[in-house]
Amino acid sequence: MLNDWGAEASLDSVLLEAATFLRRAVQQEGWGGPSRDVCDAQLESWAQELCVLAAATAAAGQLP
Amino acid sequence: MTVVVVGRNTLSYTTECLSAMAAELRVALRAVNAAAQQCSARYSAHTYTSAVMLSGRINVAADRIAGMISVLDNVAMSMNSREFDRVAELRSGTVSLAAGWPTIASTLWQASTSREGIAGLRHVSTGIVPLIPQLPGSPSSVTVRETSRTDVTPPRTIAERIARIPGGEERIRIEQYGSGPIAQYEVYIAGTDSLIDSARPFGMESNIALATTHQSASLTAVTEALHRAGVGPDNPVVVTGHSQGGLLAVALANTDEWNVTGIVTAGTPLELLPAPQGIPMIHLEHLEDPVVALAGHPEGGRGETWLAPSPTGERMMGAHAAVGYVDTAKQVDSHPSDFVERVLRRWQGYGRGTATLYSAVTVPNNAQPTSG
Repeated sequence: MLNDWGAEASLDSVLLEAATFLRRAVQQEGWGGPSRDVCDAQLESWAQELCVLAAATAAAGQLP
Repeated sequence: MTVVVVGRNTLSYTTECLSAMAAELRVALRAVNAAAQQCSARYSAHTYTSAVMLSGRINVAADRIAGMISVLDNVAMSMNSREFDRVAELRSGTVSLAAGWPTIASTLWQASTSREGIAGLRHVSTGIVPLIPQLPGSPSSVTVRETSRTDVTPPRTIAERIARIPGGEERIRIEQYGSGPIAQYEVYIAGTDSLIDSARPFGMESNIALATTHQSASLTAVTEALHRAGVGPDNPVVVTGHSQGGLLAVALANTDEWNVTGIVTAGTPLELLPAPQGIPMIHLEHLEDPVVALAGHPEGGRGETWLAPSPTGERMMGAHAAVGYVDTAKQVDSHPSDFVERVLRRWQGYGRGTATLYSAVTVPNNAQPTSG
């Protein structure tokens, strides 16, 4: 259910999907070299943060 | 800070890729915003600390992603007219410049308030620059004065070069390493120092003269300083310039008089002059700098351009200041591209040298130039 986050979509699945698109951005070409590596590392760390949030949300059973 | 390096021989491809990258990030942002909405809708009735923290972290993620989208969009808009139109349409709520040719006043107003405005200024300038008349030039008379001389070691980085660009009355600094036919030179040229004073060779008049005649009082001053420093036609010269100083670097390379082997520019509206052929060039441009935008969207075949947000968030002339470009150059040095590494190795001087500073004043038409 890409790009359709209705009320029925679980919070953790939405966060995971956001992480997926951050990683897709990393896969894009554009420019290269160390400055790009820094940019990609930033995106990957944000994706990991979203995955952690998703895991925490899922573990808490969507919270109260 | 996200710094984007654009090889001028791959302009269109790079900007298309940046747009594709921004598109992926836009979907990620929509998802994160949807998550933030869910969070607030479902948990607004509760005051659980965990829910508040979760919402806060999601919002921080959204802000970061939005920041990077803004940088990538603005790089794409800055580099390519077609991308400007596309992104402007995408952001039709915030960028009204896409609707048609705006007045210069409204463009400048937009420029003062947003990066999109600066990209808009480029868009407008792209149409204007080809209309600049090319006129015959006449030589200017200037008096060049040596003001100080110090021992120095060769610069190793881009940031060191930009930091050595002089300020104040001295507009030219020439460093000599070695002597005679094997001497190497590093030349640093400052930018415009007056908007109205025509007695200053580095005033606004020289910018206009450079764009229309490829000659100026400032170019005469730099040429005179090079002669006085003993630079010969075969000595390798690397020229670093800020703003008008960058234009002068290009103008020097376009003559057959000097052996310019490298050019570094910061905040320079490059497209106002023809590109010298076969000379490695590195350009630094801030997304918020209106002066670089005056030359329009970049053309190919002009080396490598590093585009970055102004490091401390200044806009307009604050983003144009040389000191800000030193900070951006440190980013270039800490994450150099293959091209930058290669040319820095090629340009590297050795041993101790001498740095000489020069000031210059325009000589009135009825007076004879002198060398002090």
